[in-house]
Amino acid sequence: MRRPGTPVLVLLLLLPVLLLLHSHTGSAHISVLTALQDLFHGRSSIASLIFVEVRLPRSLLAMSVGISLALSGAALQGLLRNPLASPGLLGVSQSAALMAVITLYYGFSNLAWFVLPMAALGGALLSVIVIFILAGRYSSILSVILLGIAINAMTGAFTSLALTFAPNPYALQEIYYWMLGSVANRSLNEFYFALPFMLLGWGLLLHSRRFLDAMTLGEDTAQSLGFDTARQKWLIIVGVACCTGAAVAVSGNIAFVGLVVPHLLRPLVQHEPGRLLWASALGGAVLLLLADITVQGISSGQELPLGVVTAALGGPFFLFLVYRNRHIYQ
Amino acid sequence: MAPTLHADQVCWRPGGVPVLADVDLQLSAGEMLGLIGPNGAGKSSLLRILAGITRPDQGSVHLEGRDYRQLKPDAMAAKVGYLPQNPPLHWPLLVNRLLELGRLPYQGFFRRLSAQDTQAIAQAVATTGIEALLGRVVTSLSEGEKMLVLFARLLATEPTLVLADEPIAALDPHHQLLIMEKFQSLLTRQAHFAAVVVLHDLNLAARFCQRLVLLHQGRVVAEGTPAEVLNPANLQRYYGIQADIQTRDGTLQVMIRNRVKTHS
Repeated sequence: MRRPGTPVLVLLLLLPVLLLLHSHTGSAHISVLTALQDLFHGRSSIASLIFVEVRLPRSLLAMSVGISLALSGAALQGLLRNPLASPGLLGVSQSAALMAVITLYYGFSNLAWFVLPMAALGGALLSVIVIFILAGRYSSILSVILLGIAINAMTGAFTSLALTFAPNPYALQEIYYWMLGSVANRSLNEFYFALPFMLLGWGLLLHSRRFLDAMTLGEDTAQSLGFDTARQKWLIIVGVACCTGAAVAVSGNIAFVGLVVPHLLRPLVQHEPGRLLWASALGGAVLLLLADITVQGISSGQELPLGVVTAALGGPFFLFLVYRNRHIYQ
Repeated sequence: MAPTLHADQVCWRPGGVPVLADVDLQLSAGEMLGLIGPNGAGKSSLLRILAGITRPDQGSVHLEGRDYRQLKPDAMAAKVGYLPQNPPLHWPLLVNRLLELGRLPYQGFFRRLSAQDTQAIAQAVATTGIEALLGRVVTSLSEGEKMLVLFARLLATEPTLVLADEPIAALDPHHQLLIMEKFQSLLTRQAHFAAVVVLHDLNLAARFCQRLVLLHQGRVVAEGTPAEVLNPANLQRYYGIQADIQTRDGTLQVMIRNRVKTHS
């Protein structure tokens, strides 16, 4: 029998290879090795400059955004015990997107690099606070989802409104491209900005591993196994908000990663929600690095947005996956 | 010696609606208590309170002389095993991995199995006789097999007190007897073991439980041996049925004749 740890190990080995490949990919041909040597010896060169200013932030962001989105999806699917759950369900990413769109709409985003991510993160946290106040500590998970749907609808409407009444075509285009999701043209500043929130989110979600395993037996049994289910539930929601809020803040809406990655890896970890967390985190990083390498490989001139590629490639793949596994979910 | 479980004047009124009122209950080691009563009597609610899942609005529950409110969640989880009504199984896990969930109260973050964990699981497998199911996926099991696996999961935790909510309601007669016999053999084998079982089948309740508690509209209306509780008057008044009570081979039998038409 295949050991359940094997997929995690394979992904773990694949990650550094893809990171290296990703940092090699780009319009300028530079040697990462030379760039690293120059950096190490304190020599300034074109290669080291491109590496630090362009390649490194892009690779780090693709990796961390992939981890955050897939981990959020895996944790939410475990919490709700539903393979349909995705980070978008709580309305967190839509709220983050709305706040980002507002800064683009009024041109605030040009004031400083941190205005847009900060606003997006604020939007994400605001939606969680609203859900927390309206749902209350001991509410059922169903009311949390219903609130998420309502928040999704409202923020979606306002985002469409902003698009309709965009002050000029340039702002419209800016909003539009931002919403499609991308990790291109970012600096290390953005990565450093998002990292603390992502780390907090990763910590909270990975910590819920034992609880998610127990939830396989239902909420009551999980409680009888010594878990404070109300508390654990909120820790996961806050973890998801930190992860997706930070991810949307620096990369826009990258579709499908949070839904597809846990789906794809679940059979490989024998459907265990706890093990799926580690596997999804690594799988998300691998998938987003791969997608971003593809984006740069197939684009000439105007680069395709990463979110478009993940959805366009993820969609058919997802169809195949559902078709193959349809007997499992009965 | 303090009773294994002692519920004292337990009241529960979610949203102001009285579900349980002044419920007293005592359980000693080696005893299997049958919790019976018509639908909506509050049996499941009481069991959830006894399992520490919900907190009563008034009254207290003590386990081996210690108040639930003073017990640490992990310590309590190791002592009290709970099997809900229609227990859900949300993911198609392998049976052996499902059994390991029973050891969660003893495990750290990485969920490594200690020698004691492995031994407890092996013991639970032997007791329930599910050796042949170990490599199977839980969602592919029949209802009877599923219940045996969930019972084994419960035993893997090595609880001293088991609370089971209608564990045999969905099973065929063979599996009903099988599960109840497993309960009984545990009680005779382990001196500190005790169980509260919610049952709808009055004949099985009379056959396997030393003592019965009859709940009606959130109150304990009768308590005692099966012969004391299951009499025609109680069955007519609280269940709304006319029944004959017989004793055959030392076991009480309830023969249901009619539904009482005026019963509400």
